[in-house]
Formats: sequence, structure tokens, C-alpha cells
Amino acid sequence: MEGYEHYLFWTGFMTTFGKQGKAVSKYLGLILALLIPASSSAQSDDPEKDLPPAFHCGDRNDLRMSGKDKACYWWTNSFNAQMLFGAAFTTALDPIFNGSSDPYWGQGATGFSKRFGTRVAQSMTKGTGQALVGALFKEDPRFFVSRKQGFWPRFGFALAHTLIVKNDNGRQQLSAGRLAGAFSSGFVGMAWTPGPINSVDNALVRTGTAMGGVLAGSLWTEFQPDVMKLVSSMFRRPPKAAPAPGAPKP
Amino acid sequence: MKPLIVVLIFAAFTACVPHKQWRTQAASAGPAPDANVEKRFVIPTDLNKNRIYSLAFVEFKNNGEPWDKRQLDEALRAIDDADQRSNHHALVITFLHGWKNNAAPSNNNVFDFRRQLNRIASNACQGDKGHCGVVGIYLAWSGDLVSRDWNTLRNLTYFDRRDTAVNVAAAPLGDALFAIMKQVKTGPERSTNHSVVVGHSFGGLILEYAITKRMQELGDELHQELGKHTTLEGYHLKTLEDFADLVVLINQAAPATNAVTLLSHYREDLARVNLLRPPSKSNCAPGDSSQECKELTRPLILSISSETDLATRTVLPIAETIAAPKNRPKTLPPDVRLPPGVDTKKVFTTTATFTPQLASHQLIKCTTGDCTPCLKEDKYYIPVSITLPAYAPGSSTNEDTPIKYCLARVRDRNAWNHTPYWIFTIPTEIVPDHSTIFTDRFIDFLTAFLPPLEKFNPGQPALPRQTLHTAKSQ
Repeated sequence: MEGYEHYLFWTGFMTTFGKQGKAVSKYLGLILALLIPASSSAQSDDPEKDLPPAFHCGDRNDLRMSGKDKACYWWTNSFNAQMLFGAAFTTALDPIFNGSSDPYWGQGATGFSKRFGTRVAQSMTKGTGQALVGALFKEDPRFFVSRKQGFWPRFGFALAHTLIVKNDNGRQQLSAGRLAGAFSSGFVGMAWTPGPINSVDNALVRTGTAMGGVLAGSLWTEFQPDVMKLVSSMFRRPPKAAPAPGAPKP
Repeated sequence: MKPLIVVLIFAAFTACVPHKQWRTQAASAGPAPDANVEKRFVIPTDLNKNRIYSLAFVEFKNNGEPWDKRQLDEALRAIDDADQRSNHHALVITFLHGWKNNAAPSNNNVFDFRRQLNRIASNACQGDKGHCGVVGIYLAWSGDLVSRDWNTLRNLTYFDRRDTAVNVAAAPLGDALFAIMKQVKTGPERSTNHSVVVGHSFGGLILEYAITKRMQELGDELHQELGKHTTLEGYHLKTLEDFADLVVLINQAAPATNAVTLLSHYREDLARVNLLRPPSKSNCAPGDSSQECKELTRPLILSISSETDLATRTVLPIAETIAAPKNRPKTLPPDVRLPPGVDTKKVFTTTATFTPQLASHQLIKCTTGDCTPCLKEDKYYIPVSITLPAYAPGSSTNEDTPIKYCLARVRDRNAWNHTPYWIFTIPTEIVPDHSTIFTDRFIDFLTAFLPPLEKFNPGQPALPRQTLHTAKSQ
């Protein structure tokens, strides 16, 4: 099963399984209703009839994103193994870096699951908020590399494009979606964060962290080729020749 | 807890892509209703739907065995039909897909291949779509294990699918490939048909492994012919008679081992001959020295990678160092002589295109659209024109931008590779990454190595058969 059928399938599945499923199903339905009417990709001049437009889930940087692509992009970027492992990893580090909040969240498996659940919920809310608001403003959620030369121009570009995105017409605009995603991620936790640490200040800190995550993503995409090239060159380094017997040590 | 477990099991189930035959209906089952065309071994032409091409699927299991031998029979019949329909002006394009793809009706490679086939057919057969001989052959294997929706998990299947690709390159797929090539060219009247084979990513690995033996035969035959010291201008090699006119390895995910071995053994002979492409412009005035009126060289094998293909440029060396395929030889044959500056480790961990010592050509952007300075680099450069869409990576404007390039031989006369096995990198504007290959601009780039598409119009005179010429003629 590929692509869009999967979302319909998931929607059907959620509808089938209980009240929570129904709520989720409505939620998904709303998202799909917002996303799907968006424009589709450009096609050849003399196309075959009935052949669907390219469905690329945001992988094809040279094509605009249709509603289906944006829905797929939302799902794969909001809920994926990287996010789950990341949430589990940072939660595991909480006793070291956020030990002072232990009395409120609790310790052991209960505390871990609450913190982990919070991080997963924040991450999904961030992606979902960005997708919904971004769809309203016809935003293309992807970061496009700058093709500038030099570290600082590229760094500056990545920094600026944390808040600037392309729209469906290829023009640049302020990203209401990313801002909405960051704020929803920061504030959603107020629904269940234990009392003493449930404050607007903390929610704003979480919002800032979420924006930091967007910036980190932009920087990674911008500099990924260079980082990978560096790592790769280490693997391609030729083996050191064994010194000839009796040769002096360097 | 139970619902969570149910959801997780369900998620795992839906993440899997089944290992199965996707195209299940033979033409012998009778005419298929419209809805079932997508399940057929061969999707036929249908002018009511503006489908000007036909497309055959030949699918292989993980062990390299075909799922259904009738698929190949029908593919060969589709070639026969195209040959008859077009009066021996058939253009058969065989595609071997890579990782994360298969022959599923909803697969993007299938859709994209179909779109480009239709575009090629539309350009080739203007005014006579009913007799168009453009055929696609989609050679498929199980390149996808995990759905796109679970992309992180999907990336973990790299080593497993690479090893499967090595298995699939075994005999049955190679046999099918040569049967297809032969069907295009068998018989004197069919020598005017044209056959192009394209392998992408692991599909390039499969393709290169599959043709290795044939390339060795070609090298041996050429060596014998050249040894006869004849004064012939052209050589008709038996090995070439039923071989493809052009083999394209695009973003090939395989180390340079095979290319280096082949070139080491045969490059001196291969450097003495050229394949020629007829002038792209007809009715040239005498003395017209423009590139369009010149008989230019063309490759037999074209191995190209995008400069910004991270997968083969940076990930592959890491992957090949960590875990090379188990059934691959660990050493090069003892008689292989490496190009200067290349060591064995590099050969086993870097693709041919990212080994600069193997480069045969360089693609130079013509600033302000004027390519005449390229004549200083190479009198017989290949002109390439593409249109970069406004939205594509590399576009700095919000408009479609025409770009011209010239493809010139590397200037160094002592360069290691001056053979019809062309190796070079291409810029982001033509192919932006590892996977984005079915674009108008990449197809426009490839057509620079083919006869002009109009020549495949059934009303045009037949194309010349492929002949090797002595290099001094260029």
C-alpha cells in the first residue's frame, strides 16, 4: 500500500477502533480536508489522460507540493522512528539535565512515560500545527538549500529561512505555519504539566526550544552535504603503507 | 496497554511492502477492461487516452528468478508490435529501477517512466501517433521493503536491498535483458530500431553486473578486429549487432570495481574506436560547421552521477567500508592496472563517476548561452540544452530558464579513459539529487546522445546501424 491510500486506511482504522479513534479520525479528516484541495504538480505538455500527478511526499524539490504531498509530509515528519528515538533519548537524559523537575513528574517508569509522552505529543503538535496553519497560508513546508558560497552567508540563509518559506507559487513569505507549530508545541503541554512547573514562562521556553529545533533542521539540511563529505572522506582515506623493514621511524 | 500493542502490530503490518508479482494479467486472458489495464503484463497504446507508448513489465524475485516467464514473452511481443507498427523505427527504452521501488501500479518510478515515455513518443511521432514505436520495458525487482510512510525504517533496508540487487543481477535477469536487446535488433531490417537501457541506483549495479560478460566479449572481438590491421573505417562487431545502442548508468550505486577492471583490460583498444551519431540537423548547407551539422561521437556506456547525489557520493563509501556485499570478490584480478592516483581501497569504496581519474568528459555551462568557446576545449563537443523549471533546485529566478552546456572530452591527452565508456558528473540543474531522474530536463540531456527524436517518426528515412569507427576519423 502506498501514499494517500495509507492515510485513508489509517482514518478508517481509527474510526473502527473506539471513541478515541473517532476523535482522531475527525482530526485527520479536518487536516486532509484542508490539505487536499491544494494545487498539484506541473506535468508534461502532452500528458496521458488519467495518469495521476506525481506523488512525492516532499522528496522532489523540483516539484511543488500537492495537498496529498503535504499530508504525507506532515505524517512522515511528525511521527517517525527518529522522533520516537529522539524523545526516548532526551527523556532518558532528564535526570541529569532536568533533575529538579523529578518531584513533579515522578520517577521510574511512570515518570519516564509521562515525560516521553509529553515530548511525543509536543512533537506531533508542532508538526500538525505547522501543517494546518501552513496549509491555510499555502506554505511549502520544506527548507531549500541556499546554493550560496561560504559559511556565514549559508549560515545566515539557514537562520533567516527558519522563519521564511516558499509558498505554493514559489514566492517567499513569513512562515505562519512554523510559528504556529512552535507555539502550539510549547503551549500544548500546559494541559497536563504538573501544577508548580506549569507556567507561561515554561511554555515560552518550550516554544523557543521548538524554534531551535526548526533552526537545527535548517542548518542540517544546508550543511548536510559538507558534513557527509567530511565523514565520507575519512572512510575513503587510503590505508597507510607499511614501513619497509629497517626503514627509520618517521 | 492492549490497544497500544494492537496499534503497534497493525503499524508494523502496514509498514511492510509485500514481496509479490504486481502485474498479473497476461494478454492471453483476453481484452482487459480499462480498470484492469494496470494489472496487465503489457500496458498497450491507447490513443483515446493519449497513451502513445506501450509499457511491458518483467518482474524478478529476490533470488533473480522471474515471477512469471510469460511476462518476458509478452514484452518481446510488444517489441515486435512496435517494430511492425513503426516500420522499423522502434525506440525501446528498458529501465531497471533502484532501491525503494518496484512494479506496483502506484509506484512513482512507474508513473514517472510512463510520463516521460509519453513525452518522448509525443515528440518523436508528431502527426503520426498511431504508428509510434516507442516501447518501455520496466525490469522490476523487489527494491522496496518498507512503505514511504515509515521512511526512517525504510532507510535501514539499505544493506539488505543492496545484497538482493547483487543476487538479482544473476543469470535470469541478464538473460531477459539480452533477449530484449536481441529482439529489438534481430534481422537486417530491424537494425534501424533503437535500444536504450537505463539503470538507476541499485538498478545501475544490476545492469553493470549483467552486461559485464558481454562487454568482455566485445573487448575481445574488437581486439581481434584491430589486430587484423585492416584499413577499414568502420567495424561491424557481432557482439554489437544485438546489443543496446546506449547503456545509461545514472547515479549508479556500485563501486568502480567493474568499470576499472573493464577499462584496464580493454581501454587501449577501445580508445582507438568511436561510435558516431548522425548530425542532429538535416539539410545542412555544405561547409556548415555548426555542431548540429557535425557527425559527433557518442557513448556506448554513459555513466553519470549528479554532483549533489549524496547517496552515492558520500553514503556509499561509508556503507561499502562498513559492510561490503558478502558474495563480491575482495580483491581485483591480478592483471588489473589502476590509473595513477587510484588505490584498491578507493576502487572498492567509490563509484566510477566520483573517481576523477576515470572521467572521460566534462560538462561545461555556456555562459550567456554561447557555446563557441567550447570549441577550444573540444572541436567535437556535444551541445546540450535543458530548461530549468522555476521551482527546481539551482534556479535563482522565478521563471523557467533555458541553459546550454557543452560536453567536452577531458583535455589531458594522457587521460586514462578515452573510450566509448563515458564517465562524468552532471550538475544539480540537470539531476538535483539521487532520486529525481525522470524530469524533462534529464530526458532532454539524454536525448543529446540519441538520434534526434524526429528520426523515430515512421515517415522518416531509416537510421543507420551502429558501427565502430577508427578514432582518427574524429
